[in-house]
Amino acid sequence: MARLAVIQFPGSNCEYETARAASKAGFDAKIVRWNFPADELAKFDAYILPGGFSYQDRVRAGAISAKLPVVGVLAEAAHEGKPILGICNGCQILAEAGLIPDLSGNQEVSVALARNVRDGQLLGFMCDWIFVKPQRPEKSLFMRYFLESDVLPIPINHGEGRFVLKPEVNVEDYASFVFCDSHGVVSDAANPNGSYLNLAGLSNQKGNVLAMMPHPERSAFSKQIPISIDSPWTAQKFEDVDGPWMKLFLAMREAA
Amino acid sequence: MNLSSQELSQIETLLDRKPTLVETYIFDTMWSEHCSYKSTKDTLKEFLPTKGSEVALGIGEDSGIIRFTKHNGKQYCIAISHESHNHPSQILPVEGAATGVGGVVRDVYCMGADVIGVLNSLHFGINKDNQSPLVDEIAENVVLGVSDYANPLGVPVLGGETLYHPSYNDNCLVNVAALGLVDEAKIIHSFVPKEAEHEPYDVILIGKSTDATGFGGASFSSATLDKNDQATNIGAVQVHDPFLKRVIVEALKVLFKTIDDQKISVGFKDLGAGGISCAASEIAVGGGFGVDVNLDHVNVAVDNLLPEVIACSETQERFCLVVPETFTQTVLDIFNIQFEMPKLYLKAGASVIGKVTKAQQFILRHKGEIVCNLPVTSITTEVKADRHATDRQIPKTTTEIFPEISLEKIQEIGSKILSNPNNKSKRPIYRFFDNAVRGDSILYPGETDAVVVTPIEGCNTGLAVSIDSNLYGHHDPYVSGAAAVAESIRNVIAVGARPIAVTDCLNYGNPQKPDVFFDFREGVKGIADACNALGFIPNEPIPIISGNVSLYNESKTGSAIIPSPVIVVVGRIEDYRNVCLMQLQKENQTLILIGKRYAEFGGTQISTILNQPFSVAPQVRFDEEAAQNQLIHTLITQKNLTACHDISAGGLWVTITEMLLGERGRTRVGAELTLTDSLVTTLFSENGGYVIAINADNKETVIQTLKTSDVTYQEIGKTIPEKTLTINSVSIPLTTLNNYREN
Repeated sequence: MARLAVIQFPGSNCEYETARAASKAGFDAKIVRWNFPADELAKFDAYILPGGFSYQDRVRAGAISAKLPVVGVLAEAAHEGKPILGICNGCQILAEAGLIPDLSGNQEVSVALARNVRDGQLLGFMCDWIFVKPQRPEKSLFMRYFLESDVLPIPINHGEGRFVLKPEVNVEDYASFVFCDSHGVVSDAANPNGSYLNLAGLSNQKGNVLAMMPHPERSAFSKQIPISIDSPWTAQKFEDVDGPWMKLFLAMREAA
Repeated sequence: MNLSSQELSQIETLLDRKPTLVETYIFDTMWSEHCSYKSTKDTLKEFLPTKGSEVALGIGEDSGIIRFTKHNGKQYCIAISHESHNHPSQILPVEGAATGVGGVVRDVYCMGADVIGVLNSLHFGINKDNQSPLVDEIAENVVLGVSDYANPLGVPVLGGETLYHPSYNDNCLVNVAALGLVDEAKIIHSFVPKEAEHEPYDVILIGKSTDATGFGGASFSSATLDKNDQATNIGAVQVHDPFLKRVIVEALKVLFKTIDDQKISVGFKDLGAGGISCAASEIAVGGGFGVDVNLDHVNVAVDNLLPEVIACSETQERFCLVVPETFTQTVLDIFNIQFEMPKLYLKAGASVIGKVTKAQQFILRHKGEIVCNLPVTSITTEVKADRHATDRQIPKTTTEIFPEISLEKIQEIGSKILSNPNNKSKRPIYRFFDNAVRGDSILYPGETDAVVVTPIEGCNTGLAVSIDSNLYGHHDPYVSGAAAVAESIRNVIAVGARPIAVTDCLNYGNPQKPDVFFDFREGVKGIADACNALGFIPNEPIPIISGNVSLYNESKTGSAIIPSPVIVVVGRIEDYRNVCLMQLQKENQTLILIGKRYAEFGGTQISTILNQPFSVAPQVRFDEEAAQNQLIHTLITQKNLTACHDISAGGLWVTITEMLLGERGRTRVGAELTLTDSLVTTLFSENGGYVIAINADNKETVIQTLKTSDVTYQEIGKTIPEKTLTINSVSIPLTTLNNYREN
């Protein structure tokens, strides 16, 4: 059974439901603390950095966690091709650690998650359900069950989720998730936080590291889908089946 | 300090000497209204029903606990604490509201429970003609404060309510309730266990390093706010650190598991009002022991803090634990080494600060001197303040006749009601609150009357929660209590759950004023009567398992809040898949109004628009409410309804609008209503009731059930494919209704 480490940073707060979704997908999921011995951590087959507010978002969200020794283990694992998923605060940590998109393989930091802004207005924390669609799913091991035509409901819960990229990063080179409306149209109106090119998530070059701001673990079971959103998934709410995002964890497990 | 000269001399008599400075501060806290309930205890005991066959732990410790469901051989319970943080939020709204959340969750964690959600009830003033801009600033910052704490802590905000009234201009209300999940066999108590008779026990302080914040907080919260004391008051507000709390909570999970594995008996209590002095003395007193604490062993954030500050400051994110000496090192290792707390925040962590003693004495030492030496009995001495109520006649029946008005005029009134901040969509507020962390949310805020979560992994039992209050207090203090309970119960019933427990937070003005004390007593009576009358278990009330009283919600200029009791009801639904939804989904559903409408408009939404001085508030008729609740519960359980929504503020008009618009205005169908009785009463009366929707297939069965019941009902119309609301001859596009509500 593939062994997954869900890394608990000081201030993580989504580790339990993330481990639950991953277990349902067939992982042997274990929550391990940030100070877990490096040699032991290196033995896992896959890693998830869960959501939360590690180190109180001091300096910038994810900035301090990205400097922890555990991130050295993750960099090595990324190099070896193991699947690594960062969700929300985990996404911010992967960006601050230079693990996405990792242009030249030397962990240069070229992505930042900035504060939510629309029309020049700071928005603060946002809790909402939005839609995303995969782009170039063939370039990511996480997206093997997704199609470019998919429109996937998912919640966002963040104050700093606006992707900002260095000019040399060409998004076309990577798999990504982008914000869209309920019909799959990618537009400014469907961009909740002012993210560059509507980016909601971004892969690394090799396709084994994925950083995403929305929460797939909160849309992994049909019962989690709110009844009031505009999605065919609401019809299955009470059927106790997998939600739209279980396939992400499944694909991750199969690759581990 | 807030002790009266009479109380000071009472202390001297009790001790037979003058108290030391530290002791005086301790009495100031323990005898404050906030801690002692000295004005209100008798009334609460006289009226409130607190017992029930499902109560696992009644009022007395930090949280009350109600049995929820059995799963895999375990009896799962819900622990609830319900508190106010009004005064601090008026002075420093972000910190005040944030520590309101921080404090109430500690009450639940310290029972050994894991917090699964919080609810908030926020009452703000009205900035009329931009004359009171501070009111808006407070409202905005209170919302940020709640979000600043709950989101990082990782507890979902499972709903709330926001009310606006000019009486809150000088005193906002911030009430927060926290709900926790705990296995009944693993409840931890907040007193020294009896094992301390036979083996030495240490007192361990856990959490943030102690500083001077919140010094005098309990006493300040028990007084009338005075603008001239602003600087002192600011120091009395605590400072929040949800990040540190999250780490502590994770460490507590390891601690609780170790305690359970090794079968260790412990006592555990949070530090709230009065800081170390209150927590350490109460944990000892509760078990019949004493404690000997050395303040020099307290981890302090800054040097040279005065002993009374170390003893009484209300620094946040701290807990007090008593464990056998042999287990102490294990505890210290969990917090200081495994979770590296001293590396995360200056001098945070766990440290031994004293010992449990058999002598029932409360001793505090500082730099070699004894600064406090009190018999524990002196601390637990019942302190009482005699308060008097002046009765006044509250009109209960009305002969007021409402002039019938045209449909056009009704449409205008309706639009004003929907655009009123009290009835508008609260999405702009709750979008700041994470409502889905933990991954257990099923029905989200705004989607239905109550939020539903499935808190136990692998178990389909749903927990339904609602928090409610109203603006009837000015007209009828009894009704404000009774109606809050009745509405909260309806909200839980409307999703298909059975109410199992109630908590209350009673917000009033200065109890020394006989009028205010009358209001308070009436409110408590109303709550008690509703709990007694609306139970679901034969011959049992719905028990009140936790509560709080907040008095002196008035400013020195004399403006007091209207009586504002706030109620939480929690309910159980055996299987979340059987929940009933609020929004109308399909066309050709029959719509039925349940519950008689009365022309009682005091304090209602229409009364503020018509600006007419109606005298009688919407009465709560318990027999009618109970019959309606039982009926709706049965109909939902038998899957006979396709939608259900309760009637409260704004009446049938708001109910039907919300059923059409849903949480975010994504409409599915319209409705066509034919109303024959007085339009004003039918549409805008706020007496308790429901609107239900039924399929053609079920219509006959439901009508038959209604006919044989004691419930007043009326078929009012049906759903239609056109996206309009038609009342008799007037049609309003749903988009128009949505604009009123959203903009």
